[in-house]
Amino acid sequence: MSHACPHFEPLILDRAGGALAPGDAARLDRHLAGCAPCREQAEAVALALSLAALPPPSDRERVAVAEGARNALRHDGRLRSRRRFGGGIAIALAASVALFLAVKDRGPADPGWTPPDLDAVWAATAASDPDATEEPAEVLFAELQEVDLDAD
Amino acid sequence: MAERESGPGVSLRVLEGGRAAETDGALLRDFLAGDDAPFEELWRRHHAAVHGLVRRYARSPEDAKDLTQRAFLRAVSAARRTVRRAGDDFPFRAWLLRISANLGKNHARDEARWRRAPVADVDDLADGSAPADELLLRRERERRVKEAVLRLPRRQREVLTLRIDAGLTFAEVARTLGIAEGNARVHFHHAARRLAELVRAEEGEP
Repeated sequence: MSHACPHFEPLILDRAGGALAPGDAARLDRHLAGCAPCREQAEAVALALSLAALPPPSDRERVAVAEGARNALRHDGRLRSRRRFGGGIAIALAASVALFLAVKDRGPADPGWTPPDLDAVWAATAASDPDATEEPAEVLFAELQEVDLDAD
Repeated sequence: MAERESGPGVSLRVLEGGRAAETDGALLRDFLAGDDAPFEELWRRHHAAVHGLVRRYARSPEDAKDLTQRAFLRAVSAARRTVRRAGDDFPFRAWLLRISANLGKNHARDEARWRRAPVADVDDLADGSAPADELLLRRERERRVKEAVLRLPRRQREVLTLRIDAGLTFAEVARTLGIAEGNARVHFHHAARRLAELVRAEEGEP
């Protein structure tokens, strides 16, 4: 297996990540036209990322999540105690239900691939509990960034 | 809020339009002061990114929806004591996405058994455009690559999923993780290269 050219592989990877500078695009294309190893790497990267990507959420998922603000507020115990915007929220909720009913006939999604062995991945991780701290925002935020949930 | 008190006939559209110019920090401050409407604007702005991020760790669409709600509530709760000091510039989106990533990972860790995939609508594949054996091969390759994503070194996985699942730009990824943008791109390069190596190795299999 030939390797991609060191000077051009970063451009290949930038393009795959949607971050290739416009000025580099033409330069990379000219190189790819004459370099088979770089073309193979570009194709492999593109294929790998397409395989890694999750399918877009279904209409059913999108509707369910879009209406989640009200559910979250109910869990927060706030919506029940406030009537000021009850009418607007009820209208929005009714609209969400109507949209849900409109798409529900498409049937449930069928996630059908074999589950990964996540126990092995997360075995040595530690829980993050940002609720349990009294630290100032900047300290807490730094802590969140430092929370290392993996053993790698 | 002035826009809410402008008259009895004020509409939700007007409310949302008025809030669209407000910072996340200002919305969060108003929500914590007792107004529910700013929470809905925060949700409108950020729920798709959060949902995209936690789906990778969810067992089902319902699971992903619940994780999205929990991420928001946890982010708000965690900010409740601190947003006043941080002011209107409080970096709520970065805060929220960081908590979402951690919540998703913790959720996956806590799942003792996985019987189904992270949300994957394989119906999209069964559109009759390819023979069944090709679909099966594609599905198997997806499974292997998605497993490889979960086994990437922590930072590489965070950058990759924030980019391809949550749809963040590299600048946003960098802000979320508290790293330099160039560093985020390097982590993405490493992740993509590693996944490409897996694909190429499988192509070389007999």
